Amino acid sequence: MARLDPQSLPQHVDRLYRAAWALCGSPHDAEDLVQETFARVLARPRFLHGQDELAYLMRVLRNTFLTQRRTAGRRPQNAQITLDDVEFADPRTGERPEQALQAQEVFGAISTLPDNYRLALVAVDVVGLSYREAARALGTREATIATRVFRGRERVAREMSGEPAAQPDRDGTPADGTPSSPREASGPQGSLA
Amino acid sequence: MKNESTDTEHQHGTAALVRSIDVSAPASLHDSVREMTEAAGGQRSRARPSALRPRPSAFRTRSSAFRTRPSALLVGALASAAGFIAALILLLGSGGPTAPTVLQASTLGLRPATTSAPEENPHAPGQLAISTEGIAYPYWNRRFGWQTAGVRSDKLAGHMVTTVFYANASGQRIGYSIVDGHPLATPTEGRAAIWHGTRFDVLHPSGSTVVTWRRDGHTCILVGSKVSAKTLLTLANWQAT
Repeated sequence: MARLDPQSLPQHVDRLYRAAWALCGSPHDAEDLVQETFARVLARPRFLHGQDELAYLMRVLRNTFLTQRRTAGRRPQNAQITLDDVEFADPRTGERPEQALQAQEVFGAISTLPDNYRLALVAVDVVGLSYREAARALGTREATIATRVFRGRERVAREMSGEPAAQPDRDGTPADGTPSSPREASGPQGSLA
Repeated sequence: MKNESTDTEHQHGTAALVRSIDVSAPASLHDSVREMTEAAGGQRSRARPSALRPRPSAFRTRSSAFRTRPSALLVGALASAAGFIAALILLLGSGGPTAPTVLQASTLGLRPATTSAPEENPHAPGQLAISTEGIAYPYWNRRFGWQTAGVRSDKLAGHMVTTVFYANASGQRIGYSIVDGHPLATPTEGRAAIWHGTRFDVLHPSGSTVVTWRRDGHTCILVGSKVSAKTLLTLANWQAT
């Protein structure tokens, strides 16, 4: 059983950052998410269990993302203040503003997808995992990943082209991505939500 | 009506678009991850990043599970001690001509408290009964669930820095420092957020998060590890009413 080598992790920072951005929809939240992900991974020795390093990191990123969101939901909120008002004076990738703008547009569209579609699309198209690796990382079946990626891309394409909001999918999956059948809801390790 | 070719175009077009995005992570994030991995991987030639100290679990497990050889541990300990002493000399440089930076001052917020936690000012709800040159520290317990956990005062290159520590139910801990005298230079690294007319600078040194801004011409610094910039910005922006 291979042990994760901490020294090899920095090579994945850019890719995980893009994945985190697509999950959160914000480069600033992405930075926090990646940092927290690495802190978790490095807190103790990790074993890959036959997984690729990147797939392993994707799984931790996904768990950290979902945990952070749950925690944020429980935290007391200040109703008078929303951080959406914050205006950042120096956006990322200042040396390539067109890339940053495109990233914001595309990742922003991905971040509006239902969780299942978003995670599958991020794992496959942003991180670059195969369907099989993505299925292992996200705890579901390969065929389920293929379906979610397909539908996720479709929705992103619609969003980017300004087409009307998504209708229920052809197989009856509601537009919010809620699983419509037990088969869709449960992979080998159950639902992602 | 959809057809197969439209679906294929959507699939290929979207996949190609997503895969073409090649933005890089900020340098500060790369630095932070590199420092974390070096610390975890046992590269002891460098001092342990100060901001990683509040993650005791990482080091407690590392020393046993990574089975570092005793000699390496000794070298690592010596290097860490030398780094710590150098940092101490730099930080507590007895009022030398060089003004401290915000990052230097922020490390004080990661140290332990030396006196007991202050209470809310009964005459000024939302404020603590402690201030620096008339600038009161906020009382966040009622609103955000952050209780005061202690205070410390340090002399930093001629500036007195008073730090109030807060902790929440999740075990997170942050330090709120106010620097007396002239404000420190605004950091050039990190990113700036303008919010309701106030500039907040956000930095991520060595695994921690720092937010700095000015109140009545005084430098204020909020620092914590494993606390998001969003949380610190929300706290920093809150004003008792």
